[in-house]
Amino acid sequence: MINLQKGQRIEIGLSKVGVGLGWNPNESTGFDFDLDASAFMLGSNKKLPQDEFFVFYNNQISPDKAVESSGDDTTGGNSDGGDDETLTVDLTKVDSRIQEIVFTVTIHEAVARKQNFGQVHNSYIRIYDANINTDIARYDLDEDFSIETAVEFGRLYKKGAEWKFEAMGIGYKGGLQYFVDKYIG
Amino acid sequence: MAVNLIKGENRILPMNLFHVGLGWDVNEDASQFDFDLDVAAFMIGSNKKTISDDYLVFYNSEKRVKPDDLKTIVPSSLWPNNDDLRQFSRPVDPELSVIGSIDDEDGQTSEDGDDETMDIDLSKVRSDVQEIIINVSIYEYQKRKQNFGQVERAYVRLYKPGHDKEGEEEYRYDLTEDFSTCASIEFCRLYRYNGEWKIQALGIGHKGGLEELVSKFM
Repeated sequence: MINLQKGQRIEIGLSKVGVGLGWNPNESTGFDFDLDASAFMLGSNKKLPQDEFFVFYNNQISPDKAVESSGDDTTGGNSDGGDDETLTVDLTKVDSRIQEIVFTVTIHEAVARKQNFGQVHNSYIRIYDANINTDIARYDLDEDFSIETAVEFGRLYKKGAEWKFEAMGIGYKGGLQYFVDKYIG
Repeated sequence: MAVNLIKGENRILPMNLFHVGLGWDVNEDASQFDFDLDVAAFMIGSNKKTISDDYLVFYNSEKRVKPDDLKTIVPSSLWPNNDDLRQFSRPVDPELSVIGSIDDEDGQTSEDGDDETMDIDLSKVRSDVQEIIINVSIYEYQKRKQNFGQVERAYVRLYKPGHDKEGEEEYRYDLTEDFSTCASIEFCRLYRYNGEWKIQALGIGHKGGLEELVSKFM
């Protein structure tokens, strides 16, 4: 596993990748922790060509079927120690209009529930080679983004005929709406 | 100037030797029972469990120090009874890295300041201790029908020796959440990360008292 600095670029040369999001359920009193992994598939103008290229809990597959969500885990209970939500990406299927795919992780209703990543034990997001299940990049969300509620994890982008990955690791105090406004608005 | 932590936030600890002060307001409604809050520390290994019984530093720990000699461990049997033990000695781990508090059984130690104080020397912590969970619990909460909803102005603060005035602390964390159904709270954790010690503000409440924390961490 490679421990990335922010902004570091990785040659990817891959056909299938996965983005895994894992966290521990809330063992204390109070609200569940509901983390969401999403993908924004962007054209050359850094916007979605159409709304359906935003893959999230209410739209679990992109029109080109290149990005698919495993479904929404609203508590972190899907896996004990492993990924609770997964986005699988088949780069051979990506629509020709798409120039990059941005991955985000957000906490659902973080403000109302007074939550941040620091409270969510063992929370992480990773991107891996889906053929051999080896991590390419990973952030420990509770450690690196303790007071934040949204993270722009990284992006796959097209350079010539190749897809590359850039780790971004930018934390925000907003929610999914922030990214929706940025990439759809 | 004190850095105020928010729940969940972590920071690097720039010092090894410091005091941990915990304070809370006494319940002004003179209820039938005193309000007896206790601070304790679980010293935890990589398996997320306390190393052994000696690494729960709390009012009944077997290993003790006298308040006027914090460098010599003495056995709890030196005191004739448990009341004397808790009031005239301080609990400690075998390496003397965490020295717990004299037991305050009614919150009278201080009106506005710290009611219980721990001394911590991270340079002495046993190498396989990965984190230290500092917590507060209500003694006999069931019998006395008490919970943290009755507690106001609870805080934890870390300060260097000689810098105990308000505002001089390095870190401070005020418990602002309502813990009205809770009898114990994980306040903060000190933990090793990439060769450094960090602090994280927790504010994790539990319905049970110290016994629930014991079942979680031991």
